[in-house]
Amino acid sequence: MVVRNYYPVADRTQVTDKIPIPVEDRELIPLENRDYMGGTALATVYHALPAYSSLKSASKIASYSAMPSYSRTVAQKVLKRYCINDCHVWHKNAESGYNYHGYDVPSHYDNRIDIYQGVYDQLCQFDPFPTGGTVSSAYLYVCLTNPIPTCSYATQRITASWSEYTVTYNSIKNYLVGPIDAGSFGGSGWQSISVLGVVKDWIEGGAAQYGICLSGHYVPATDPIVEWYNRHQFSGAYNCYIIATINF
Amino acid sequence: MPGLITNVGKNLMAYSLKSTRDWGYPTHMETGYGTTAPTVNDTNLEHPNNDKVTLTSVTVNTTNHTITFNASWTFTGTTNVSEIGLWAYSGGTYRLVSRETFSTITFSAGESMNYAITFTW
Repeated sequence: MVVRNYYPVADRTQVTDKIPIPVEDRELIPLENRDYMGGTALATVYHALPAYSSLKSASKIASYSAMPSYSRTVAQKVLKRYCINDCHVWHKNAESGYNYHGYDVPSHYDNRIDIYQGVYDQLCQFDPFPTGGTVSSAYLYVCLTNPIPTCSYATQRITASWSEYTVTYNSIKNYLVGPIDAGSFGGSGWQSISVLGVVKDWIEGGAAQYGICLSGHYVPATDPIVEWYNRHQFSGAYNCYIIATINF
Repeated sequence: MPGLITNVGKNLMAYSLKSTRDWGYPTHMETGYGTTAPTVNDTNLEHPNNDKVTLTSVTVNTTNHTITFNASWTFTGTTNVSEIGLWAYSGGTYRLVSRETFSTITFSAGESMNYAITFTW
């Protein structure tokens, strides 16, 4: 069955077609709504047009607006602090009360078992760091006097003031906190080791900055002695230092 | 720590969709010591340190729809930093794309600063 939409004559401006009136529809079309052509009765047929509302919504596509948002993703301060006080100390009983000055012997630590378990510890104090911010990295750079295989290290934080001209193992041993940082390094020339934990204590925790102890107590017994130039040698040309990155 | 894209920056982004890219694109960053909060009408830093540096890198993340501008400075003397500007340079003119203020950070000679600004769509 075909369904047609017949339109009244008054609305002819909207019609789209005229067709002969099918026999079955003749009773539906009033006489006043019929046209005649050559004796054939015609009726107007309406075809639905697209709704205007759909055209309107299509135009909304053009109403785009989006600006990027601003954000700071990194604000970092990178600073360098040189060693200002350094000395090694001996654990060995006979030498634990002796000061080695440290100005003519390379800085070093070890845990050799051929002499004595963990003979040497190295103390280093640095120019003061500021407080505030969050430390994202901190590395101690040392210039090795001789190439070394991969060696372990561990750090302790020194909690009391000391002088390289007077310090002994006996005078400092009760003022060490740790181990805090641990890891390994090797190679020759300038090498770096992370000292993030100790530097965090200084910058974020407000701990007094009396320095770091590279301790032989916590490194494997098979590691050799690790030596680097102290702050006095070669007029300080190879003085060790820390580079810290602080986020704000 | 308010930061925003200036009207100039918005116009620059509009121009970036035009084939001629009339106003160029962000090329430099600069520090300053002004503390007045930024507005969209800013066309300069409040107290610039006159240390514009070329961006070290610009990265686009097509997953997160971001662009990040990176810059670094090494200061030669004591420097206070409390504002940052992102600049576009084109045709002999610098245009301030964004400005941010924050609590003062003091740098000593030899110290460095890394800074990154991200626009997210």
